[in-house]
Parts: sequence; structure tokens; C-alpha cells
Amino acid sequence: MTDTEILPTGRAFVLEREGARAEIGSVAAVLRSLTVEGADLTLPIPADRAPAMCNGIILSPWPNRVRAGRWMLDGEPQQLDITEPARGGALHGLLQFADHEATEQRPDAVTLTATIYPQHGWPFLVETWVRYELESDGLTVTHGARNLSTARAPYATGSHPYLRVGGAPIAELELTVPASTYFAVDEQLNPTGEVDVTGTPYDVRTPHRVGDLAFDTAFGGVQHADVVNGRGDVAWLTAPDGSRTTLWQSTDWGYVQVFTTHEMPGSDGPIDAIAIEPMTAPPDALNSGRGLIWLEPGETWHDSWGLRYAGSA
Amino acid sequence: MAATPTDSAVPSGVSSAGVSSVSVSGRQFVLENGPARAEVGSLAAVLRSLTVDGIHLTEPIGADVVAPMGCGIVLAPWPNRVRDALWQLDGQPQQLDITEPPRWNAIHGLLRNTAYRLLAHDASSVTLGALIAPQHGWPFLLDTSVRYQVEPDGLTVTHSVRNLSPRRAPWAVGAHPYFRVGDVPVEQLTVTLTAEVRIELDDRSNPGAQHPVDAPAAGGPGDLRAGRRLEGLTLDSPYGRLANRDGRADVAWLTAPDGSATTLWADPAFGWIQAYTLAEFPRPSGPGPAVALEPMTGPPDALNSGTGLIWLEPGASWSGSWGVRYEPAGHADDTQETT
Repeated sequence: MTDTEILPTGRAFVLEREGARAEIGSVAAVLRSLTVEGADLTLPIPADRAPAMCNGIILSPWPNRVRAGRWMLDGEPQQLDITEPARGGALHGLLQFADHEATEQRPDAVTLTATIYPQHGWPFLVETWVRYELESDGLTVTHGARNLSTARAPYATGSHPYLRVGGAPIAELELTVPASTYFAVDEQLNPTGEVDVTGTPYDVRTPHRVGDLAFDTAFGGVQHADVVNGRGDVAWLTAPDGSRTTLWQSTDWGYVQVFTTHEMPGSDGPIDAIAIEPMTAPPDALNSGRGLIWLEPGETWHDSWGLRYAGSA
Repeated sequence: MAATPTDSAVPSGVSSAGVSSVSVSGRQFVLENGPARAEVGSLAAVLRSLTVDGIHLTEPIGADVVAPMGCGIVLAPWPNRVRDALWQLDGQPQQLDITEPPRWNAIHGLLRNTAYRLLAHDASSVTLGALIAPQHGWPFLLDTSVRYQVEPDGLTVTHSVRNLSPRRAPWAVGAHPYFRVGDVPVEQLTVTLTAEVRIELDDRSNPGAQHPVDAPAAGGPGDLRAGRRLEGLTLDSPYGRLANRDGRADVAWLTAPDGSATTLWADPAFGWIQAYTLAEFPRPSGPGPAVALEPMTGPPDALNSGTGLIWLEPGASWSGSWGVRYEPAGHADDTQETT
């Protein structure tokens, strides 16, 4: 064992490009911080802390929940480990505490790789990677997977960033998500149906003040805005001064989870926070099949999301 | 379906060569020292096979299968179970993930699905490392490693850990080998355990009362100090007060009818053995009886009982060894050779 500093988030990688800077940790390939011209696009994770409330981690091979940790594969029940005992489900995939290996390092980019091995409820061998590449105004994040199994394997992925717009108070930000549906949930937060947002508190197609929202909600029917090269904006937070942090996704990433909390641990007690989670599939996709990517033996998939910052005009 | 399969467009940083060498038990290592040979996979630092002169000392498993019944894997930072996956740290409840859903326990630590990274490797040894990051029910950062050193007559396994947390951390470790004496059918072997005590298990396999092995109340298979033939014997218990209390010593062995034996030795820190038999261990030739003798630094549910727990101060390291040795027929006075 070397004395290279190892943080609760694993080995640290610092990316820099023009005015942009990001810090990445090897555990869960976590995005620890992202700034453009010194403005935070995400809620930073202190160096001596593990991610609180899943801050910045990647979610593979499924985001969000699998009901009771159970699903069916070709008629055979699959029992995953229960990683959310209080609600009895399997939450946020299998890499939440996995130390990734750096397979590419550049001043402005890093690729972190982890293999998902066959295990309880998951009889597949899948090589996965996450590539972070800084842009001058933000970050491009590419998730990839290759099925090394002899059978086809389902795949879904996501990420769990908490977004900020510099130092603007979270409650004062305005959230816009151009999504036409949301997923209603039961008391265990498992989905019960996809519902039109029209006339509901979940219609945030026009800007809504974050302080007025209480969401732990997956959105579907996402209308990617301003699509260029297959990528479009799917959610944005606007500060009172007009500065903005925008989440964009490839059009293959069709879902967004929004989670608001007043209980995020801060240095001086709980703080407000809002997670806006890009996802390729909605909650419980292993059961519903919605959004699942089925990888044939040897097949590779990869696709991107990212964050962009614009200061006040 | 929102799939964009693109076999060629993998980011430049991902090594396709490295990817293609991954097997179900991870990266593979072969160790040799004279007549002895071991095969190790990086997933859970699994011991896949161990032979001396071609004689199997453990149940061999293929590189492309998931280790059946935990065969050969490392168990850290606790072996066996944590009842309800729940324990207390300084008065605060710690809820681990439920990794044995049918019995609602946490079993066999946190590295079962982790591919260790290579730290050192030569012809007869390999050292593999794995980080344990703070996680559900486990607020500690530990850097752990396992070293397999093949000896001419067997194997030495050394487990190490360093606490990188700013607080003291509990530590327990074990391994899950199933033993053989070559091709001798397991039911024909005699098992000897130097243990003086045994812990009863409840219907969720969690520990109850501890008894002297020769106490009438203990029930079960009782005293194994003089050896018992495995045929018809069902074992699923932790055993303690082994022969290694005063120093490294032989703690258990399997003896074939011809007197040849596979012997488990351990440092005093490995004060417990989980003995486990099953009738239907999967083998390529078909299922059959098998016996695991699992060296452990603590008994089941040690995070709750505290028994055998090793507490590591911030920055502190720990290391301990166990191993396996093959004894040919005729190695001792009281053996008799058969043909």
C-alpha cells in the first residue's frame, strides 16, 4: 500500500481547462466539484467527506429503485441485495461504493472504469466506464458499457449531481424542466404510473421557484430543447441575476429525476439542495422494461450528458 | 428503446485489450513454487485452486464461474453475518445493506463483488488490494490487501489493513476455502477441529449460546478434537478456542483413509473457524458433498458482540496470516499406507 493520499471518495483527479475546473473521485466515479470562472455548477463535496445523499455519484447498471430488489429475467426471479433497507428496495445500481480505475488521464479529461461482476440478482459481466471532459463553459460526461457476458444484458445508467448557480441561494433559483409527464409513486417511492403533468404541481415546463417545490420525482416525456448533434437541454436553474446552470442530455437519455431537500449536510448545519439526475431509464426499469438498453454479448453502448454555465448578461 | 450500439466508438481511454481479458472471477494469476501451484482471481481475491504435486487441497473452481457458495473468497471487513445487517457504533445505529435478503442479514463483508487491484506479483506470490470506502452502515475508510504466497507444501495467506479514517475502526476478516485431500471423496475424509467451544446458530444462522464442545447441552456434532468421519456429518457452526491461542499452530485438518492430510494453520488472531458442510456442492462432474473450514478473526455477528473485533486507531495497520499445508501419507507415525 502506498501513502498516496486516499480520500473517502477515493483517489482524486483534478481537471482544468481555461476557466473551468472539476474534481473527480475514484469511488463511484464521483463528481466532487465543478466550477466555471469560480462559479459552482454543483454542490461541492469536501475533501474529507464521503458523498452526502448520493451527491455526484454515478448510478449503474440502473438509476433509482428496483422494487423490493426483485425483477424477472426470462421467467426467473432475480433477488438483488437490498441497499435501501428502510424502503426494502435496491437503490442506485451496483457501483455506489466501487473504486474505479483510471484508464485515461489528461489535463482536461479522465476516464474511470469499473467492471460489474455477476452477483446476487445480477447474472451479468459488464465493463463500464465514465468519461469526464471539461469544456470551457462546463462538463461533458459520457457513460459507457460493454457486455462481456454470454447472454444479453439489460443496462441503464444515470448520475446524481446536486446543481448550483454559483452562490445563489437554492430557494431563490427558478427550475425549468421541459417534461410532459411524471411518475407517480407509492409510499416506498416505487412508480405506480406515468401521469401528464398538466394541472399538477409537477408541471415545471415554465420556471418555478425551487423554494416552492418539494420533489422526489422522475420526469418523462422530456422535450430536449435546442438540440444540436443529438444533444439538448432538459433542465435548467436560473438565478435572480440571470445566470444559469443547464443540464443537457443526449436524446437517448430520456428521463430526469428531481430531488429537493432541506436536509443536505453543510458545514454549519443542514442546507437546501436540489439534485437533477440525468437518467436513461425511469425508476424500476428492470421491472417495467422502460428505457432499458439491452446489450447483446460483446455489444458496447455509450452516450452523454453534461452541464453548462452562463453568467448574467 | 433508447439504444445506440456503437461497437467502434469507444472513448480512446478505454483499453479494449484490458477489457477482453476480464473473466467472471476477474483478472487471473498463477503462482508456482516447486510442486505447489495456486490460481487466484481478482474478484474478492478468490483462491480458485491450490495443488501440491497435482493433489487438490481445495475445491477447484473455474475462472469463468461465479464462486459457488462463497468458495475461496475473502471475507472483509467482517466474515459471516451481521444480524439484521444492523449494529451500533458509539450508540448510533449502523444499517448495512441486506446482502442475504432471505434471512435479512449482511453476510461476508463488503468486498464480495469487488475486483482487487494488483499491488505486487512474482512467480510464487501475488498481493491484491481493495479500498473499502465509507458506505451504508460502515463509516470508515480502509485500505485492505491480501497476499498469497505459495510454499512448496502449500500456501500462506496474509491479510492486511490500514485505517485511513480519522476515527478508530473495527476490523474482522476471514476466508471461505473448501478443503479437499486430492480426489478422495469428501465423505471418506475425517475432519479434526482443535476447537474447545462451539456457538449455536438460530434459524437465520445468527449466533446464540456458546458451549464447550463436549457439553451435553451443546447438541449438534459436538467434539471434533479426536476427528470425525464426514460421511453423514452435518456441520454449520462457528468453533473457537483453537490450538493456536499461544502462537501460530495447526487448527484443523482433513485426513484421508491413507493418512494423507490437508492441514489448516493460523496465527492466534484467527481464533475462529466456521465449519460448514453441504451435500450438493456444484462440480463439473456433478454435485457432491463438500466441507468449508473458514478461518476467521471473530465469530459471526462480531460487530454486535464485539468478540474478536480488532479496533484500528487512525492510521494504524494490522496484518495476520493463515495457511494450508499438504501432508503426504506416512508423514506421521500413526498413519498407515494403503494402495
